[in-house]
Amino acid sequence: MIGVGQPLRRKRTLEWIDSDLSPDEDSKPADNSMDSDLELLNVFKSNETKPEIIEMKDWCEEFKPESSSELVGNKKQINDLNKFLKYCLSRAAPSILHLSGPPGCGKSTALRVLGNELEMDLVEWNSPTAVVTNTDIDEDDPITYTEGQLKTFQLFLINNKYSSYSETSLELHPDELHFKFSITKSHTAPRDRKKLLIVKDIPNVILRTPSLMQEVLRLYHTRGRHVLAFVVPSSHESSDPYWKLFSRELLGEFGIASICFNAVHNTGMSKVISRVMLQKTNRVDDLLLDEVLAASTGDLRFALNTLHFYLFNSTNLSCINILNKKKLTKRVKKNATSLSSYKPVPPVPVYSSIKNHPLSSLHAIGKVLHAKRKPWRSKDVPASLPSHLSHHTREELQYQPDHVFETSTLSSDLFLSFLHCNLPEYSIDINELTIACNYLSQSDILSPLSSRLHYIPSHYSPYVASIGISHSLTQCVSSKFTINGPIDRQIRENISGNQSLLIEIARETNQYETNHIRLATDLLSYHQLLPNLHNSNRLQQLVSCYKLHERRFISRDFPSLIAQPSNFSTVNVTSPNSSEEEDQSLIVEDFPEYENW
Amino acid sequence: MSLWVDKYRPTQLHKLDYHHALSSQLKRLVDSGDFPHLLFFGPSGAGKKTRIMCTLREMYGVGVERLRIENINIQTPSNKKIELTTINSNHHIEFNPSDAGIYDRVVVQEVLKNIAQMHTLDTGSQRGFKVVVLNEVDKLTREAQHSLRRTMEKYSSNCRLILCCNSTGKVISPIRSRCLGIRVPAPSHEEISRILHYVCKKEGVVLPTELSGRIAEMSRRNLRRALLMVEACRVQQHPMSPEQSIPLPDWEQYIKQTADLILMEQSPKQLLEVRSRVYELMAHVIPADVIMKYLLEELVKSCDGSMKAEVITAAAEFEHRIHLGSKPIFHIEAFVAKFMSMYKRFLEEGLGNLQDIEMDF
Amino acid sequence: MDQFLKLANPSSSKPAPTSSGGTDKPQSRSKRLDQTPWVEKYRPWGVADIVSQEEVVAVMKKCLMGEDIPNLLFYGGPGTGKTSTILAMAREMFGPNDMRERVLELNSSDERGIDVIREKVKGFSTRAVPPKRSDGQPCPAIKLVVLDEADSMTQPAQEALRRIMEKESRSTRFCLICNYISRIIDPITSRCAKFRFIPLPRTQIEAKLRSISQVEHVRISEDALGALYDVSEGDLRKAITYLQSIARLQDSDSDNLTEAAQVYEISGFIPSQVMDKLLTACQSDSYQQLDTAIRQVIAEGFSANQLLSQLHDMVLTVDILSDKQKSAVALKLANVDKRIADGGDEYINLLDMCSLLMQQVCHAQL
Repeated sequence: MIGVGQPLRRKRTLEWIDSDLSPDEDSKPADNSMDSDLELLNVFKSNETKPEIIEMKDWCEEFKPESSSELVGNKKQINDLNKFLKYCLSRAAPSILHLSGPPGCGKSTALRVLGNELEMDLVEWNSPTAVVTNTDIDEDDPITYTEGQLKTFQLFLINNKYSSYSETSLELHPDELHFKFSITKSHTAPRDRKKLLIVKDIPNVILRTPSLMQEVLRLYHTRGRHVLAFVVPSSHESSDPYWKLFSRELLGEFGIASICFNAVHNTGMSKVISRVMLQKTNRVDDLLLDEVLAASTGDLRFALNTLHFYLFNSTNLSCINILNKKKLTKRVKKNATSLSSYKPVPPVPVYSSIKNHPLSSLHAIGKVLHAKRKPWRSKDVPASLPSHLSHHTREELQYQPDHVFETSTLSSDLFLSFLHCNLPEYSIDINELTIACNYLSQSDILSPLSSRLHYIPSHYSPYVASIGISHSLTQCVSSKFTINGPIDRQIRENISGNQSLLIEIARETNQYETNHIRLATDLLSYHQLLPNLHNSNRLQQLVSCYKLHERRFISRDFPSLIAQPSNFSTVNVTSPNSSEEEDQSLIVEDFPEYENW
Repeated sequence: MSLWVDKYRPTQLHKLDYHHALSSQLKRLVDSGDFPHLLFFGPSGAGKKTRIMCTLREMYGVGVERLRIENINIQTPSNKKIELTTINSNHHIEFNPSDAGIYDRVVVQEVLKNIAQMHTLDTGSQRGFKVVVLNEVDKLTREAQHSLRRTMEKYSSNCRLILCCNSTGKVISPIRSRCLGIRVPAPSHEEISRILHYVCKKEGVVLPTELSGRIAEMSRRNLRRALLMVEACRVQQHPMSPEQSIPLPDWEQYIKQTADLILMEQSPKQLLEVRSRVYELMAHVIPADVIMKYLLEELVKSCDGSMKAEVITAAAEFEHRIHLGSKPIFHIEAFVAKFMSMYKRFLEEGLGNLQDIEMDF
Repeated sequence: MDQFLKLANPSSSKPAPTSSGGTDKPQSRSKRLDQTPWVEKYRPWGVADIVSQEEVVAVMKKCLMGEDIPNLLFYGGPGTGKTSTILAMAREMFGPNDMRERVLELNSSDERGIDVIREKVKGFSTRAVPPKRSDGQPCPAIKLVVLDEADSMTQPAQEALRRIMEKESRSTRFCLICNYISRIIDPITSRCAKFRFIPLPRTQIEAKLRSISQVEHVRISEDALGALYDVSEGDLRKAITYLQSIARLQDSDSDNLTEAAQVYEISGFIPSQVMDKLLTACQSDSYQQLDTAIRQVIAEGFSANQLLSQLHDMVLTVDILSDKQKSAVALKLANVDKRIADGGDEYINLLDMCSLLMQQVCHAQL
């Protein structure tokens, strides 16, 4: 923190919180946080009594891309989206899209730009705000309220228009349910134009009872005509309603295409930021650029807002300041969440490979495994520890290990997997590694995925790992800078695949052995005996399949199991692994899938 | 063509080869016309399942041997569908509730309810009740066990439960007290080799006495495994010779090799190698605690007295963590790393005083 | 635990006559009926029949004489007669006919979340009852709510209960039954009269068992009766359950008495030979022998928990260990027990336990 700016900033913070928590914000649609950011900025400005600054425009609006060529972000994913939309245009049946990604990666922007380019009508759903005022929520009679909101939503899906709602047979009083929607293109479109229905904030009702979603979608499936896109931000908290909402089964049942955007990669970010800087200040401040980049972790909206703020503030910048800001906003947002129980806390797509991870998270892993320490300076050598603890003496860390996890965008589960996967390569001493492994094992016990029955302070889990590991590894591997993606998931898939195979074999072979584990450890473990097991063709097939995929024990190579190490410094976040030849119809099923375990 | 294990499995109580006192007790129970819920327990390969089937056969006659496999679908309160494989005859139904994972409670309740209701339809059966055989009750969650005890009482008028588990320690005492516990100890070495000889005679192969003794020894008093071993020996070499090597299950061999790797070199690099091997084992559905157990067995052989205790303590601790945590690999690895550093220290100390180096391996 | 004693099927199991009245029962009753658990069959009928627990019985008798009944909190080990006592008292107070109307019994198998407490208990306790029984005899104008296994109730449910207890104090008495009083929240314990149920003494358990085995014609030796007490650890229900198991397995044609060995077998008690062997292995300072001994115990199908508890009893009394060593062993026992309870592997944990024991015995650092 910089001394001069401190009091002011604290004051701002207070107001920030106030404005965000004011009751009228409660119902604010989730993804409109950019507007609220703008408001916040305005608040500051008015407080700072700097009348010469009149500019009140949101830079996110000002610099929003107008054509697909201007879109930054993962080219492949944008391409996928484009292909999907084209595919939707080509068919009459309704299609549903589930678009997710971290906040500020340009989901809605991409949808808007592409939709416009393909000449679709964009209709956006906004949850009825008027009903959500406190007086209307009658606690004793939640049903009417619920039904009202649900009906409105259903009407929106079928008729896409406010006007048609009065014609429907469903009896609703107009003044009881206001809902607004916006048609971005105002000119009257020809009848046959496809509409793109964008749902950014899913009605509370559905969030509360996810089973309603099925009902709604079924309705849409039979009566809808257009393209329905759910835009869902993803974050790294596991208790999110969206994850439950868009379960794998649901996606499968309704053939929902699922596209997951990655956070904007650094090149794209810096392109945009420097363009903005150039336009606003006529020069590119590299220092500022770097720090904005570092602070925003792929959130373009946040980057622009930060930039906006700092260019006007023109105080000395420091990374810490921005980082603190980021944390602050996070916290404020969280508070708002708990109040309105509305702000979406969405799913963590579990990435199987490193390509999908923003560089910043890999940096975080690197910082833990390869903790840089400040060399001793003679004056600040701390009082030496008592002799029995002296082996714990370490130089001061350059980064706070607990901040490292916060700045990474990984879920704690994934964070642990990453650490685990790369740990042995970053250690040269087995004794240190032992201690580090022990910490890792401790943190797994704390992890929220572990015992669900007992109360465990699960939020400590990643901190135990990061602090423990950076403490225990003292001898840095100097030349090593690769981070491998965790392969837990392949392993789990392998296990479950083999399990079902074994269950099937069990079913075929032997009526006494229903237990597949026993099958694996006893009956099938004698390869000499496998030929004797075949008493039916089907079984023969299964067992040979099992032999093919299974028993690689004796051979020494594990071809598919170990992820190819990729170089840390050259990790290409975009990496368009060109798959142009994909059949259109395949897209629906083949989009990056979600699995959370 | 089926394995010898299945081919020579006795189906009648009086044909069982060992634990004759137990057999006659079971027979008395059956003869008394009605019997309480039973809880069979004992180590694996001791013949619990065989005894259960024999008891059923004694009760209902050959009809029990006409088995069919059915898949039933059960819907949980949270609308999740679970598929469960059951083995049925006209008189009994058998399934593995722990297959349903955390939904085991629902599965047990639903299946028992269905049976209790179904039963009222066919009154013509010989006994007044149907039998439900539940496997691996010790793997059931606490909730499932608690609900089971309620269910046991509720439907006791028209169905009887036969529970089967390895250890009663993990079965809650209310269930234990509701059941007649039947302990099935593992067969002794002599009993195993007697059975091996009997089977080989039936198959028309000569089994050298020395080999049968060694197999019995190596099988860890697990009859199933002993029979598999002897059949594997037979496939490997015919006729069998007394000194031929006895094949181990391939995963056990693999763990042995892994242990050798650990003893060979203690470094982070080696840990990576071990990790990939553990992953390999886990991908083949070998349970993590089994890996841990066999690894410990191999490793402990190469330690001296006081270190043995240390290693065992470490193993027990990390094995416990496997059950607490969600990522078994972390804990197995932590154990391996711990062993490596202990072993390295042990070796270095050994080198330190070269004159009286004494390693008992 | 207390579950078993109670209401297995209250309608069918009309409590059998007590030991004195039951001798004339024909032994050749239909086998079907034999299925009634004996614990149910021989449950004490009246307060006077209750074995031991003099203090509680005295208070109960006073209450029956017309004294005010406080809210009750019974605690103590399983099988010490907590449920039997309250049921016997209720029966005497209200008569068998009114039991259903005036007594609400809830146990932990029933859903007992906060909602059930609120609705069921509240609904029951707010109903008014006349100050006399249906057969015209006078009785206090109260109803009784028996909450069995109260220690497994959730905290919020207990909080809810506390308010109900206060509100309904005019017409309802509560009797909470639990094993561990520490799990009951303070506000509730302070509202109840607490009674501790002690484990039953040997003589009384043996006497009860003897009378039952006479009625049921179980041929059992005196030795075996003693063994039954040993394995039951003062838990009468367990002892009776084992007795019934013995009766079931007994060969009706032979006249052999059931011996102590069979009792141990039934109960899963590990015979002392096996334990001695293990202890010898621990003293041998040979890992090999220890390993073999442990494998043997497991192969015989004995449960690790049982082994631990017997080991505990042995270690406490054995004189080859100093107090300090004993405490180290006890600590390990606790650790190992927890691990096994969490699903840990029995072999590894027993090995851990015994290798520590071996070290303490053979390499004592005094």
